[in-house]
Amino acid sequence: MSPDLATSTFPDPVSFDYRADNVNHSPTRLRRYASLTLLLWVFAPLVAAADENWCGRYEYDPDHPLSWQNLESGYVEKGGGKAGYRYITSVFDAAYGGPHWDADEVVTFHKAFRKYLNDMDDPEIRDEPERWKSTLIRDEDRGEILQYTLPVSDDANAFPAEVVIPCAAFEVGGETYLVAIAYTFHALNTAGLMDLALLQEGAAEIADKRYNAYRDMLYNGLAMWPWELWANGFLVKDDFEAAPPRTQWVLMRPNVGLSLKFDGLDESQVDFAFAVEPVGFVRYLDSGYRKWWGASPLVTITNDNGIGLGGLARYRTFTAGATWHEKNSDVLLYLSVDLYQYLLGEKGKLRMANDFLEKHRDKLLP
Amino acid sequence: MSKNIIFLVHGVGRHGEGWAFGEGGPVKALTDAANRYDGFSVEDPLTNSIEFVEIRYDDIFDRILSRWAELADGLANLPEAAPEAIAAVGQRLTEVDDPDNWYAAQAMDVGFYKAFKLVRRLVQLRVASRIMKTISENTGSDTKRYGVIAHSLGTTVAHDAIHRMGTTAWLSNAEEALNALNESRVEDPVEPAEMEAAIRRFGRKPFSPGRFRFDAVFMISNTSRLLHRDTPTPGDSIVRPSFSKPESSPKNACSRFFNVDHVLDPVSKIRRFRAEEVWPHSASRKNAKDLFNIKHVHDVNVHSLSHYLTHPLVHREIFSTFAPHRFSFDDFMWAKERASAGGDFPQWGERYLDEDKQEKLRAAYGRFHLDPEHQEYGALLLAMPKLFEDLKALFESVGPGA
Repeated sequence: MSPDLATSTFPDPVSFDYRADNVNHSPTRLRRYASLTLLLWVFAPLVAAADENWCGRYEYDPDHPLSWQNLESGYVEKGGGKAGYRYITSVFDAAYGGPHWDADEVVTFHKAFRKYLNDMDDPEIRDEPERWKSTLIRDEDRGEILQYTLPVSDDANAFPAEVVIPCAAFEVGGETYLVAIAYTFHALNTAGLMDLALLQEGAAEIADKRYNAYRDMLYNGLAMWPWELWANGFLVKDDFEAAPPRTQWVLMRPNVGLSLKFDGLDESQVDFAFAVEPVGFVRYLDSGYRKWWGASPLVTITNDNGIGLGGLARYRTFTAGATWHEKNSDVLLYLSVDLYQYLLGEKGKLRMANDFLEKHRDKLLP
Repeated sequence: MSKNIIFLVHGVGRHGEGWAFGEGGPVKALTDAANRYDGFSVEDPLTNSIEFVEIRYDDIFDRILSRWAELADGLANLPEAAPEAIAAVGQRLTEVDDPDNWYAAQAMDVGFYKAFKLVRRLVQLRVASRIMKTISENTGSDTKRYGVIAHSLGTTVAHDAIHRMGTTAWLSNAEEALNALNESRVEDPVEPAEMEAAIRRFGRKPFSPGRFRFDAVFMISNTSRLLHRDTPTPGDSIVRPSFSKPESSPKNACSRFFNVDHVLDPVSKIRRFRAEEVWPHSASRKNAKDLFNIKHVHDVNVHSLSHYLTHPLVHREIFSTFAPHRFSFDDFMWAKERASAGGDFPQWGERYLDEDKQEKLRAAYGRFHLDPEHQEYGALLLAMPKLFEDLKALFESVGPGA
């Protein structure tokens, strides 16, 4: 790097007045700093390994006065956050004041930083370290540049400002103040992202949990016919982070079960019955969507007893109901079991028995 | 060496585990394409610089189809008195689960995603959670760059998932998040106060645009304008590049947006998305690009993701963003020359140099484009079986790629 940077003297962070930030030194906050330090310690080698170059070919210099490696301890000492960011920019200002103070890039940077601090107090915006990240553009018209997109105004109709650092600035003899801006932005970005890691991890866990819950509902719960799948979509909340519904609608659900007539030994008969549940519901009892109960009105059609009307109750894969058949003025018992789930599916009894036999084949066979 | 990360999201059709990495898959296509440039070689391939993360969701559709077929099996012993229509419904549901049913494999995915909110939610959560998990494992390494290459139906899925990822208040229940977090951090539990302090500072949306941003999103044969659900119209959602809209705080989920469309590809012509028209300010700064001048035919299936990625104008943007230290500016410029007249990347592949074949292909694909009724969603649905039949016949008559 250039000699003027290497020999620059930086302000003593202690002499800066950060009382305006109203830093809270409560035990909780101090614990947080301790965790932050630990996080930084863990991630520092990662950062050093990742920061290999600018524009794909100019090496990141960990000895640059504005490198994250040089600024990290001061940032942590200030307790991170707003005070930490101010420390980073104060180092930049101390080194690059004077001749470059009025340069467009420096002016935009200061405007953007002021807005950033204001936005941190806005509960709708808060801390957004990604703003300081560069975009590498290679294009016939623009050449090779690092582009920074920075909001500088509270005017809702104003486009963000652009700070452009040509990749040529990183060459020997290039513009050192532009390079210093890139290092400063990089430090601001790195500092914020490290503190953000915890929340991103937590959010990823929640997303995974929600995915598993929806998967369990669709894979383990009461299988839905296409029209039921469509109708139950209306129970899904628009909030993406919301858990899936614990209730499921049953709608025009066809099934085939057994219709049993008990009328003395001579008259008793068993017949296949086509059953339709016009509407009903299922309530899930566990988070894995493996246990449920439900109830529905029931219409059955049998060959011998005609049409019957009644109701059914359901627990897990078993359903039992009763129907009144006007043709014979009889009440018939209706029974069915979800053959797939109970016998054939992944957790079905036949499948489990088969798996058991396969596993112990050697022991069982002579 | 730290690798940049690209998430690959597939389109319609059946994609097994490892779909992205197999023969004919997008990783192979990109790796082979990279080896044409000085910075890459068989010994030191593209995958040394970029980590590709494949994301699947088609198995969800398959699983639902299987459940339908099982339900239909339950109607096996229908009594004679039962309405005949019931047996027909059962028969139809069994047919769609047939692995040889080409139409079901291609078109049902679209219907599933468009029609069923429960399935859509599961798909979006699968994609979002995979991306979030990968990012959260790498946060702290800020120069790592992230990108998405999505194809066909996958562009819609990726669009919806990215929008949801960035706009959802995942930490609305901080206690639940803390418990979930500590289940995976048994030896290093997070204190509630630590979590609360972080939420106070960053808010409850840790993947919102100011907190996470993709460096580039590549929408290949973009269907998002036609098929998106539950999210704002593409263009208005947060899946947009820098400088896309004036506002006090940036709401763009990516820095750059590439919208890629082959001139013959029928899929993305229906309610076509035009990034440069929607975001003129981004376009003027090269943050939004429509790559519509893609017209090579090296395979009869011009819709295929791998076929798209072989084009120099497409892969040069991927290499220069995610492997910039090995893909020089000179390479970037040379890639354009390769695709221009007289370059080493001709419009017609070796198998299609015969003019009759070329005419046949043009005519076959032209039928899809020129019929105005296909611009309407309802008409499209009705026409779909015929479209797919024609496409299948075309593939069989002209033969595969070189």
